[in-house]
Amino acid sequence: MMKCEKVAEVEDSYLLGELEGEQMKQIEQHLKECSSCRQRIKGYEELLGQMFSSVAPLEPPASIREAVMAHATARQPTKKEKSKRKYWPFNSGFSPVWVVGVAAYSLALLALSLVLFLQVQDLNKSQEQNQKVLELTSLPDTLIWLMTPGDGPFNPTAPRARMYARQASDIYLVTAINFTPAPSGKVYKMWYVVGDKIESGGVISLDGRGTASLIINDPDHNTLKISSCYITLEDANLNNSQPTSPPLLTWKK
Amino acid sequence: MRFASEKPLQNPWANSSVEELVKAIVRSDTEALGELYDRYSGRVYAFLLRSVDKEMAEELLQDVFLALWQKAAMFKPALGSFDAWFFTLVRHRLYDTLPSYQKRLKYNLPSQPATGSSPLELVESKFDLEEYVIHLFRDADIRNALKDLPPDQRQAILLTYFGGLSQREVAAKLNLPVSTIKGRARMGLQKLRQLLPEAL
Repeated sequence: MMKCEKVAEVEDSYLLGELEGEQMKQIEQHLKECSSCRQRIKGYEELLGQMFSSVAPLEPPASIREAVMAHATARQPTKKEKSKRKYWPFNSGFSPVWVVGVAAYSLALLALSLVLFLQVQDLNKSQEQNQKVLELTSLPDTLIWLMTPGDGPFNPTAPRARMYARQASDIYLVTAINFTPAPSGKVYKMWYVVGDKIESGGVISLDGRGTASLIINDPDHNTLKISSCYITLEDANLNNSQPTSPPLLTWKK
Repeated sequence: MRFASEKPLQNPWANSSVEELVKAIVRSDTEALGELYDRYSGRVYAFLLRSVDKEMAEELLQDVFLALWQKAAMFKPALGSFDAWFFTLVRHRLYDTLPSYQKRLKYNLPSQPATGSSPLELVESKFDLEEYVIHLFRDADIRNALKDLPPDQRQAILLTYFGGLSQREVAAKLNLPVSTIKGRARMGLQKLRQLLPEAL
C-alpha cells in the first residue's frame, strides 16, 4: 500500500488529474483507508471548488448547449428499456387459494423462471456493455479520435463524429452529431484502417436529431494499430466490405 | 396567443438546489441537465479559455457536461460539495486533453488564443499575472487571499490549477526544479486553506 509520505508527494498531481494507471489506483486505495490523507485532499478539492465557484462566467455559444442536450437525449434510456428494467412478474403476487391450480401454477412458474433467467442474462449483457461504454468514455487512457470534414475553422453545427478506443477494451464506440439524413437509397458507413486493412465499422443509424452511436466489437484489441477512421456515404443495398465513395469525415493519426 | 388564466411556462428546476438537480440527472432528466448547464457552463467555459483556444474549450465544455450526464451517480453529497466534485471532473478532463492539444499546437494546426496572453506568457509578466487573478475570480475574498500569498506560491497555483500548465512546464519555463514548483503549489494551497476557512 502507498504510504502517507508518498501520497503527500504526488497529491498535487492527483489533484490535477496527472496521475495514471497503477499510481492512480494506489492513491485511491490509500484514500479509502487513510482518513487523514483523505481529509487533507478533500480540503484541497473543496478549496479549488470554492475558487471555481467564483470564476467570472463567459457565455459559451448557444450551439454547445444544443449539442449537449441532443447527445443527452439520444443517450436517454427508452421507455421500452425502462419498463424492461422494472419488469418483475412477482410484484403482482400470488396466493395459493385453489389447491387444484397449484400444479399448473408450478409449471407456469417454471416457465416464468426460464423467461426471467433469459431476461436477467440479457440485462447482465446489457449492463456489461454499458459498463464498457462508460469506461470508454471516461477513463484517462481512452483515445478519442475526432472525425471532421477538414482542417477549416471549427464549426459547432457541422457534422462531426468521434471514435473512442482503449487498448484494454474489446469494443470501440463511435458517436456522431449534426448529421443530415442520408439521401434516399444511401446510408452512412463507418470505416477504420488497421495496419494496411480497411475494416468496416458498420452503418451509422441516425435518430431524428441527426445523432447516432455505434458500438464496434474489437476482440483482437487492435486500438494501437489503427491509423485512421472515416465515414462515407454508401448504397443502402450494397453490402460492400470496402468503401466505394470518398470520406465525408476523417481522422488520421 | 395566451389566455389570461394561463400561467407562463416555468422551468420546473429553476428553484432547485444543485443536489436536487444531480439526483434528477441520475434519473435521466434532461431538463435538470439543462438547468445545471445554464448555471455552470459559463464558469467552465471561462476556466477552459484560460488554458486552451476557443475551439478546444467548446469541445471540452460539451465533453464535461456529457461526462456529468453519465457520471452524476458518482457524486455523493455526504462526501463533499458539488462544486468541488464537478471542478475535479472539469480539471481532470482538461488535463487528459492537454497533451494531445499541445501536440496539435506544435504542428500549427488551426488554433487561435482565447485570451490576450497565453499561460506561458503570463509566467514572464508580473503585470499580466495580477490582471489574470483579478479577472478570473469574482469573489473579493478569493482575490484578496490570492494577493496575500507570496508571489511565487500564487504563480504556481494559478498557472497549474487555473492556467492549464503542468508543473513540469512551469518548472522548465522558470528554470527551476519540478520539486520547487510542487513545493510552492503545496505551500500556497495550505496557506489559501487558512485564508479561506469556508473551504475546510
